[in-house]
Amino acid sequence: MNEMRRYSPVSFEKQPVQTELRGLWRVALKYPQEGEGPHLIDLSHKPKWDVQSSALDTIQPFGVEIPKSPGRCKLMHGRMVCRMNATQARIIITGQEKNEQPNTSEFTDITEGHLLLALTGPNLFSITEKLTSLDLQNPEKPTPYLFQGPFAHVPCQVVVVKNKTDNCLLLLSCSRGYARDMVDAVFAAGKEADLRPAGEAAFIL
Amino acid sequence: MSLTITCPICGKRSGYEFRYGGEDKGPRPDEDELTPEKWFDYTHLNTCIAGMQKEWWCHRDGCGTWFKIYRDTRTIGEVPLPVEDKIKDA
Repeated sequence: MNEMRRYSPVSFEKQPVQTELRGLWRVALKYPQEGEGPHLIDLSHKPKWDVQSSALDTIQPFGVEIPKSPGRCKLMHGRMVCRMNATQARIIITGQEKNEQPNTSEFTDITEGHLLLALTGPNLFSITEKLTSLDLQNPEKPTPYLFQGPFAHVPCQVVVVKNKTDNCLLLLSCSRGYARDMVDAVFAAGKEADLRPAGEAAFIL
Repeated sequence: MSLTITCPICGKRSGYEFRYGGEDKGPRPDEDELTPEKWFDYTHLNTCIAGMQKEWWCHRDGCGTWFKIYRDTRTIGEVPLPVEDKIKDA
């Protein structure tokens, strides 16, 4: 009998030196010569949910209240809830806890349809400004904040989790079909900053 | 950047992120007295004003929202929404 397996759409040139089987996913924990950063981390295995309802304010996904205004995000107990517009929100499970699958029609599991990358390390915005015109350092947008717009010409959702010059963290999500070109574009832009692939162990919220 | 458009969700962005959705022609004509001529006029005919025009736009590369703005077709740029429209569209 064949074994069932889920594959991330993201692959790096280097092979991981430490992996872990989590559910049906093979998760890379560590890559060789990761260095001090900045790092690009594949988190596509993290559960992601799309929530759509005309009464979003009455829903509390995984016990977390959905923020009232679009762009605002809440990070609680390893769950990131981002308001996208009047009727739509996005949930990213950033922690390791197992979560019950919501059983109502408002929730759609998009884990396998979307990739999730984390960009972390110092001076990240010198890399991102080559890839997008989005003003990710806008001081009027309190972190964590969700930007929806083109990143490397691809419609993306970008969550700015930390935006300090010496400590930045971005979560980048888009359709899984863009994975190879997105990774190529990010590494090309990050070449002079010595951007390297890193495993999940380097992802610290 | 020649054109910027203000999305009600994401704020002011480059015009390249948006898709034009045509003139705002108001509500659909009433079904009871609808003739093929009236339907043709509604769906195909445009006023093509040289001046301030109310238009539909979609934030295609961003949040995907459809919304209306006023744009001056002579200068290309977006112009602020008149106060009465702000109240009506709210």
